[in-house]
Amino acid sequence: MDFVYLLLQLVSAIVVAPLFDGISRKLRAKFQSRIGPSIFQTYYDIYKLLKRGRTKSSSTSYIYQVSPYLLFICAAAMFCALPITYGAQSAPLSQFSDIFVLLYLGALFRFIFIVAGIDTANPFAGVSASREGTIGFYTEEVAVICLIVVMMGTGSTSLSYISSLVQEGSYGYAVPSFSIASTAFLWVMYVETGRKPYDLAEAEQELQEGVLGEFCGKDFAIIDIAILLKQMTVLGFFLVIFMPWAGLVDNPILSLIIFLAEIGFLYVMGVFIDNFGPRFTINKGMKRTMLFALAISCTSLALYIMGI
Amino acid sequence: MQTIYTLFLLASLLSLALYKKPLLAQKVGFGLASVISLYAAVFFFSNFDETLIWKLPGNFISLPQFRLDSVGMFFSFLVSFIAFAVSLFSFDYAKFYEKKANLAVFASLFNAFILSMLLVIASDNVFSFMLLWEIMTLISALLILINDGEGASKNVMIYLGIAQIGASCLMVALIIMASIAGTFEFSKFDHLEMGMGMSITLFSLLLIGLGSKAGMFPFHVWLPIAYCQCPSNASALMSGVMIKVALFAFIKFSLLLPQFAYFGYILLTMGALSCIFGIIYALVSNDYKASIAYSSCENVGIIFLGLGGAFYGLGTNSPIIALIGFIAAFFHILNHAVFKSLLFMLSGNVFTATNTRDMDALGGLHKKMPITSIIFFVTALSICALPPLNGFASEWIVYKTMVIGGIEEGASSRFFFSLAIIALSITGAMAIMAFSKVYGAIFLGVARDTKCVEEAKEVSFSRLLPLGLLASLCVGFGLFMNDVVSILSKIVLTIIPQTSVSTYGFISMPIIVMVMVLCSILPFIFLYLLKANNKEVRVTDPWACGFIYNKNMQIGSNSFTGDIRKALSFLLKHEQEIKLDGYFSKVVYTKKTHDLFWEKLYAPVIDMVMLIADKIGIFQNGRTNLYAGYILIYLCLVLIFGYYYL
Amino acid sequence: MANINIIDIIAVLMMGTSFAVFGLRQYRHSVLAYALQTLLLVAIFLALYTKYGTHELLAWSVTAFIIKVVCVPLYLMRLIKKLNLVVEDEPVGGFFISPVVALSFSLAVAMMFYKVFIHFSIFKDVLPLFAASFIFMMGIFGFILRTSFIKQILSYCLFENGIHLSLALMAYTSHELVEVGILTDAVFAVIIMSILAKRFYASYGSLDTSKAVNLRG
Repeated sequence: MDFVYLLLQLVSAIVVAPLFDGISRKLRAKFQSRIGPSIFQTYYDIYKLLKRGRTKSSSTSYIYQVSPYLLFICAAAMFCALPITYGAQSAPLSQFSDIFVLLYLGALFRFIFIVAGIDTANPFAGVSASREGTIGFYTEEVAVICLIVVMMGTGSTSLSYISSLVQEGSYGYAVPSFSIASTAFLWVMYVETGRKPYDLAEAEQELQEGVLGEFCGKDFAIIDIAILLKQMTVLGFFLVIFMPWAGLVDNPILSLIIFLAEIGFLYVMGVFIDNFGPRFTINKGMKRTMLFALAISCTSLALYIMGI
Repeated sequence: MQTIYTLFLLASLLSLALYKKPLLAQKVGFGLASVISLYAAVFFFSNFDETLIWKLPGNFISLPQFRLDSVGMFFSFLVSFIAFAVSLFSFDYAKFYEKKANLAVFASLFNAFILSMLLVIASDNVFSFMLLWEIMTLISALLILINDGEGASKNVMIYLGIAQIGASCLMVALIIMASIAGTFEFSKFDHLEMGMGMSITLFSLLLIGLGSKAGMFPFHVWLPIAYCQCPSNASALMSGVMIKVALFAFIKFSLLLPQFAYFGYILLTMGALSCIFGIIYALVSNDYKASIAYSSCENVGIIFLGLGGAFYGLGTNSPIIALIGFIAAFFHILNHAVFKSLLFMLSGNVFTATNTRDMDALGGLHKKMPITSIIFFVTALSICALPPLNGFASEWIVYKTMVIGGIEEGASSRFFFSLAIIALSITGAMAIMAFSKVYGAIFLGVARDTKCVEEAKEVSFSRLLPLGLLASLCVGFGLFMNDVVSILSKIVLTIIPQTSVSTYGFISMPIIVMVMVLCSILPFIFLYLLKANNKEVRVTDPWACGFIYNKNMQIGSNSFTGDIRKALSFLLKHEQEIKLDGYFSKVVYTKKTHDLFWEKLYAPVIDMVMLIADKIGIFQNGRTNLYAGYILIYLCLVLIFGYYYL
Repeated sequence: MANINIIDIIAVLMMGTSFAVFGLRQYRHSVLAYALQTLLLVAIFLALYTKYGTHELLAWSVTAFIIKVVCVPLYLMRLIKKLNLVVEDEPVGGFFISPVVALSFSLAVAMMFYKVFIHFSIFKDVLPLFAASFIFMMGIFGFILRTSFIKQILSYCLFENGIHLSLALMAYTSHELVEVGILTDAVFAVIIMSILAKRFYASYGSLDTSKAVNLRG
């Protein structure tokens, strides 16, 4: 029964994610005094991609054929690891929903992304693969420092267990280190979604999505969905730990609907940050802003160590 | 047990006897080694819960006794299993060294090396342990020298120098422990009574002595130097197995001391530093063998993190932390042996096919060597600890140790465990970059220097068979994580005080695989339902913004890590050289990274020692008569000294 | 009474022959002197056996006779013949100075040694112990002061003799392994050194060890 709910969770995320993407594109267009595309535009984009033919570069190997599906598997598995439609009671799935499983599935995503970039021998893909790795280096530390506070505070690494503890209220914002960690964590999860000022999710060359420059047709469609899913997952990660109020409702389907609505809200609100600045260069801008997040997370860790 | 040792000795002598026929000696020597090690692996595996004792017959000064308990059985199993895989590989690989050294000597040294490692694990007596330890070091140095070339002797000297520093610290520590216990037999060291200061000093001496052999920071400098010089099957054996023997000795001896929580803190710090520095140097290196060697340092750091948690648990009397810590360390030891020897053997395949170690000259090797490429991919995935392979399984258990250890109230324990988790996660992020770079620069893309890659072809089946076997073990240990954990917990429970054997809420790898398989079916259903375009893919050149594509446009190993190098420029010293020869000719750009610790820590000491040695060198004028005279003077002095003072 | 005198006479003769091994120019004569000395060694063993009645010494004398009187000198003779040598080249300082130096130093050191050894030994005969240390020191000085390879091999055998004699006097009841050690030493060391001598001759053209200074510090 749990697996059915899990499948439902995944499929509904896949169905709803392009809608949120479309809403945020419309909102951004409104800010820029344009009419902008319709909110269902992303669905039309994916459908059009599926119907197109494909070209590939002569230097590619099996990685090119396999990586779209691998990326999708990683992103989907990451989303399934969020304990939305199941809680700490479900025995098999609570052995799967674990913080480190989620983080390392994200690492697998990054690995395949980088390798796919190098595979095509496209110069821009290579540069963006290098960027992807470097951004991973910056964000991983801050995220883990925040998570240490939560894990050691609750004594377990299981997401469903932590989620249920915060829901019950036995561990939560009353602990100062937890509340400070939540700010830094939200910041890092925003960076991971790959929006401006850290990256431009729609442009191509040299940027985070430069890897995808050589993918086309149905491969590109699958990767698009995978990236959307990953953005959803990353925001959902923040919600599940720091604001799991959706799980208070007992019915899994209802909690799924509330949860998706929350993620959609966060995603669209990201436009407010996204739209109002340029992209940072990775050396100066990234380092400077991430230092703030690092300082906040280190403060929360220091508070935890001192026992507060 | 004694049959295995005598068989190895016979195999070694037999391959030496075939001195005149090197190729036959190669087949005989390595073939015998693989058969005997397979038998040994099965034997040790089936005897995990027994203790075997064996005394050497005869009338020696101190009765050497060899004793294998559960932990020793596990390590002997590990040694023999990896030796089996490597000797199968060497069956065909060793012929590339025919011109550099006599293959009979190579095979004989190989067998002797395996024998010395097994005997080190089994020895029960201080003298036999030190003797066999030195023999093991010397044989490994000779194995490094098989790949003779320029600079070979210097590299061997560096390796031997650091090994000797370690051996002297180890000997001091062991002799002090033996004098406190009153006996020289390890099995009779019951409860040593000593104060906290003495215990911590002995612990540090053991850590320096054995950590230098294992490649812990700051003694990691010999790892790339020695492993790049060795032939690849020897470096697979040295890195996969000899390091584990050093770790086994460390665990065995530290357990004999009275435990304190400080042991855990020291190990956690050293482990964290090894992890970070190891992976930074692996990341910026342009030589794939050096990258793999530095990654050994990183993995030894991870093992020390697990051991730190375990010793902390023993020091504060919390058996659960100790149990999970030791399981994490042993599991990672097992996994590291498998994938590190696999990586070195794969790099040996690449080296014999292309004859270069520079990643900036390779590329596109997948078209020529597809099976090697796929196995390398699986190994790179498992060394970066990505689910669902074995690297992830053991790193997860290490994380679990840290989390359980950090729950308690003390600020110092929380600080050290948080530091450990931070170090491990940074390492994970950098390891992904390092290994995706190594894999991509060698096998993917287009060849950057077509001369090297032209003649490459896939290697023979006998070289691929052990690689495939080990790669399937990588997957297997990951999938059957819980079974491995239960076997290991039975072994670990023999060395820590009694506690319950529960899997304490571990993740279940089969469920992860099931979810991943479920997710993999979805896109196919999706594409089928929406009738996606499945026509033939058109092949073209990569997109270069309208320019004609040139193979130098793709990203290389040096430029891939450019941003991180700038970020870490306070730690890495670069030497950049740009040669311009007029407007129309090529620009030559070289950038070398120097190991910071080599420059600051080792180079001044080496220079000073060489200065002193030059001054003393006047005594060595080459005539043997004078040397005999020196001996005579020395004897007289000793006689006078002995007569008057003793 | 007569027995003791025989032992002392043989000891003095041994000292004389060691001087001969050291000083003679012709190689064949040196080897013969060495053979003679070992024969005297066997005689001392037999004399001690008859005096004290110790069975080990009988066994030792037989084995020493076979190996050291017969095998080793024959082997050395063959080596000399193969290398076509007759006389030794002139060392530094001529042929007069080095024997004198060696003689005086050996006597001095032997005086020092035998006083210490006499406390430890089982047989408390003074002159044989003195002779043993004297032969030992002559061998070592031969090694130091002579540059010819063959002479150095002979000096090695000479101090081996000294060790054998001192062992017999001081500790004849030790483990068989020690005696086996000395005998194998005599055989194997001589074999290995003669192989090295042949190689040395092949690469340097002469047996002068002062030519091999490549390992200067």
